[in-house]
Amino acid sequence: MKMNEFKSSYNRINYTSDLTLTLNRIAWLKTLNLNASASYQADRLERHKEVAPQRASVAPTSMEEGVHDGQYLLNGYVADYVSDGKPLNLFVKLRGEGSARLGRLNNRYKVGGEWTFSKNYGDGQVYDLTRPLSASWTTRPRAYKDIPSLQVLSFYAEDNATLPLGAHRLEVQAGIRTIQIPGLDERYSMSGRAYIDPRFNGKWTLPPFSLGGRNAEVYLAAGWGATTKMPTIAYLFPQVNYNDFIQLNYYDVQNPTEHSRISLRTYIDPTVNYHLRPAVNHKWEVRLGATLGKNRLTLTYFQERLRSGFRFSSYYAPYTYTKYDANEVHSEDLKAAPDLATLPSEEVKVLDGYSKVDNGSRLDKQGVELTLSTARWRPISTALTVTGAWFRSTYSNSQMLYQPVTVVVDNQPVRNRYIGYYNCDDGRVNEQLNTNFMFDTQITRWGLVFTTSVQCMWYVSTRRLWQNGVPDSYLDVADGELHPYTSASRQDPILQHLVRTYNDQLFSRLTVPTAVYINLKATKIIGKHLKVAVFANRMLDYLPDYKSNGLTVRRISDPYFGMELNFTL
Amino acid sequence: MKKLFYIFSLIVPLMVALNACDDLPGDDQSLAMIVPEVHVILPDTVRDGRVVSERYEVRNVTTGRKAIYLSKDDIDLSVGLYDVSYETEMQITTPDGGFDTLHLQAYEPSVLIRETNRTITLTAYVTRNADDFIISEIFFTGSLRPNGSQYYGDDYVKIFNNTDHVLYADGLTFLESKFVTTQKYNYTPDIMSQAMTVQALYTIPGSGKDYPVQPGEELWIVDTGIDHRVANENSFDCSGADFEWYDVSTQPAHLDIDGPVTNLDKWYCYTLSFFVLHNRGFRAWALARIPIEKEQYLANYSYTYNYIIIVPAGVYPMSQTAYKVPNDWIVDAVNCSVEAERVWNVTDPSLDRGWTYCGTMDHDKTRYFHSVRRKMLYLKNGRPVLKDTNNSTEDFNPHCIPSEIENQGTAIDVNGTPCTQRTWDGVTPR
Repeated sequence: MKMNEFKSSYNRINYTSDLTLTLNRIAWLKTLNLNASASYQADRLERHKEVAPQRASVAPTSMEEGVHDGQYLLNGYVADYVSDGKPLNLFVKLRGEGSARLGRLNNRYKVGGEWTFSKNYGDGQVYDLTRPLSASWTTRPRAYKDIPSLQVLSFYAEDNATLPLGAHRLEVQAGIRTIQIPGLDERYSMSGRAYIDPRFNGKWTLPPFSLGGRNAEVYLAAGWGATTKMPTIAYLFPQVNYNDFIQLNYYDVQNPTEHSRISLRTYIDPTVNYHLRPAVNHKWEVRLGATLGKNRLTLTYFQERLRSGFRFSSYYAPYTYTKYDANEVHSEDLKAAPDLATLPSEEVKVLDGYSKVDNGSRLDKQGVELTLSTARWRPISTALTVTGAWFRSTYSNSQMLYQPVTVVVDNQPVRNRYIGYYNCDDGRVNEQLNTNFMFDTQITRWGLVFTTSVQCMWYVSTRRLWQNGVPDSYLDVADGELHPYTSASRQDPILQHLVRTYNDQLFSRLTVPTAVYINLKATKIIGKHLKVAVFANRMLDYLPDYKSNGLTVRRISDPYFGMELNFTL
Repeated sequence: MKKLFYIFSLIVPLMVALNACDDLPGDDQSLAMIVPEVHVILPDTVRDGRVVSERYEVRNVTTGRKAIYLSKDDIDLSVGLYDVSYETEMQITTPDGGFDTLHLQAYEPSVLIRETNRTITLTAYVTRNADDFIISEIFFTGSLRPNGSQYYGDDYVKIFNNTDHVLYADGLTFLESKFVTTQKYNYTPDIMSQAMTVQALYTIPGSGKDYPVQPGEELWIVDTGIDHRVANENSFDCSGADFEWYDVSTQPAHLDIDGPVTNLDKWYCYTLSFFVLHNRGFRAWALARIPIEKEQYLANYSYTYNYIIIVPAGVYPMSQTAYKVPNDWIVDAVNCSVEAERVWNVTDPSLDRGWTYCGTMDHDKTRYFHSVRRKMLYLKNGRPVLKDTNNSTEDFNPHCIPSEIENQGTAIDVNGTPCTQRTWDGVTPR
């Protein structure tokens, strides 16, 4: 029976305070609000496991660059592992609100600031490198306390102004926010920089008029703004990359534990991208709204653009190490593990690399949103609410990518010699149109509310953006340079494997047609304290079969039932 | 009178009701006997030949019953699903005027015979007798450590000289199929009738006469040629093997051990990591003689194929690249699978018409410490002569104790029970 025990403990202490001051004496400041919170956690995971390597493996044991011996893991062993985390999070927010009149302009404004602090004081993963939890681990532990703290500081000011213009009314909301990471090392291009997010919303209400005996009103609104998202600790302070290369892999058949030898050459590469920028999302929208009596309608069109989203990209370069030949070593003659100096060797170069985070993701969204709510129609006491939307989103990347292949040809992995550089627009376009109808019947006399909702997903389509499987160029280990990939490259027995093949049908548009679900819910209010509801979701559905890639797809839906009980004291 | 009327009014409707349902036209179909139309498509080379004898073997898939017919006019089948097997001896005239007798076979699995579908089409091929090495044993399941976990590294293949003259192993290539016998897709292009799609090619090195093998002798090709009992006391010593496949890697995560045994020349493998035989036995393994140089083969014999994966989650069009080995170059092939999961053979029927196994279901816990071993027909001069009809169902003993475990008396189960039997082929005792 294999031993595998773990013990996990989690303790958290948290302080939150909320202070609001109402100031009556000062004309231009009404309230002041201070929020503060601090939380500290102590997490500890201890694991004790009997590990039996499925095959002989090697555990790299050095934390420094250079040539070191590795440890052969042949037999089973017992691994002791501790993961220790002590995260501390602080948060302070100060906000002031006030109002003032400037002529005919009525202003309500807010000003505020926010500061957050995160750091982990734990020891991270603690274990003996010669006895890892898994025989194939080649990573190294990193103490959490070695990761720098992250502070985010932001300030904002916003003003809501109302201006009556005769029978028209104009409302303007203008705001600005600054965000920055204080205390960042000056090597980062983000160090000491404050990013500004402006925001503007305007609404122009036309004079009310009468239509069919009821009051009617129409308004137009438009808005525009930018939001900056700061990178997380994982993006700003990634662990360095340890790259180990096997120089000598000698297994001694007579005395495997004493006379075997593995020599590794370790390279340590920093993976931090000092040129990382925050991701900025721009959005603008226009809206048309109308009311007629108790009926309300709004129609909105919006567009969002994100061009600097975070993504990981791989970088490759040639690495050199010394390859030792142990074919002439005779196990019977050995008194100890073989000495590297006595073995024939050659200098070898292979391609390898690591991942770095970059601002290479693109996300563009646009859509139309509709809401309609009607007045209650007396005869059946029912009001109708309609919400609908059409969205189209495009995900893609704006960079060329290295993508190594995994095959081994003629005794050598292809990726050691050549890695293709592809102009692949790895992305997709998603589109959907849906409308939800909700009929709300209230019979107040009996305390009954019936809700019938009809959810219609008219279509959902997705299309993968075409990818060029033929690389634009390839990295050659011989000189570490990029060479163009030509038609001659396609004939080469090794280089031909760099061409990635895609089934053409992969890029065709997949559309899932209409799906309609009907949900029913009945609520009964009993007295002043009790509300009981019974619901049946997906009671009825309309899911027609459709054809995809020549195959008929049948959809089924399972209704589900439930009951809710609300008790208020 | 009234009573009579009531009784009458009960009986008449009853009688009408009982007779109202006629037997549906299809009802008698299950008992109908059908004389099928048999079309045998012969290869071009024997079109002008004369049939000396023929033999049809028809096996009902549902009942398992077999029937043998010596002429296609005798065949009389009831409605059902059949595997049809055909053998014939034909005499053809050679260019110099003499006569030559050729042996042909055909095999068509899962033929549905009913009123509306009476045709059986058989594509015949000349049986192969490559006069070369054959695979005599495949140990793919591996052994278990005493604590029950899987151990890799001791899987092996044995190849045998079943002819009456010396054979040279130089340049013989060992292949593993790309497709699995438990999952079938419609591949375009489907080249199985001309070539086998492979994902690993390892070749025995040598200049041409470096590795002779006498009749009745075998070669032992192992994953890692070391004494595995050091790491796993239930395993056995592979340092006496003739060849091993060693996967060089620069990465510690994909470490393979280079034992003292001669390494095979790794032409191509799909994985960066170490190569192991499919542990549950869902692939076909083969031996081939590739007549062209390695560089020329690697440059010209890769091909791309498309297929579509259909699962409840969606439809996924796929495209892959693999190497192909023309059927003419293949000297022996063995398909392996398990009863509960098997769907098809991944080689052309002309290479292997049947299949063999260790264990009967997916992840069968009893499969460890077992191998598939070729049956012995008889002993000749103290050396075995093995059965080779290119039909692994008939040619192999499934789920046997591996020959090396017998030879070395090592463990046959996770508890370490030592092996006390010795057989020629897993069944016939020595």
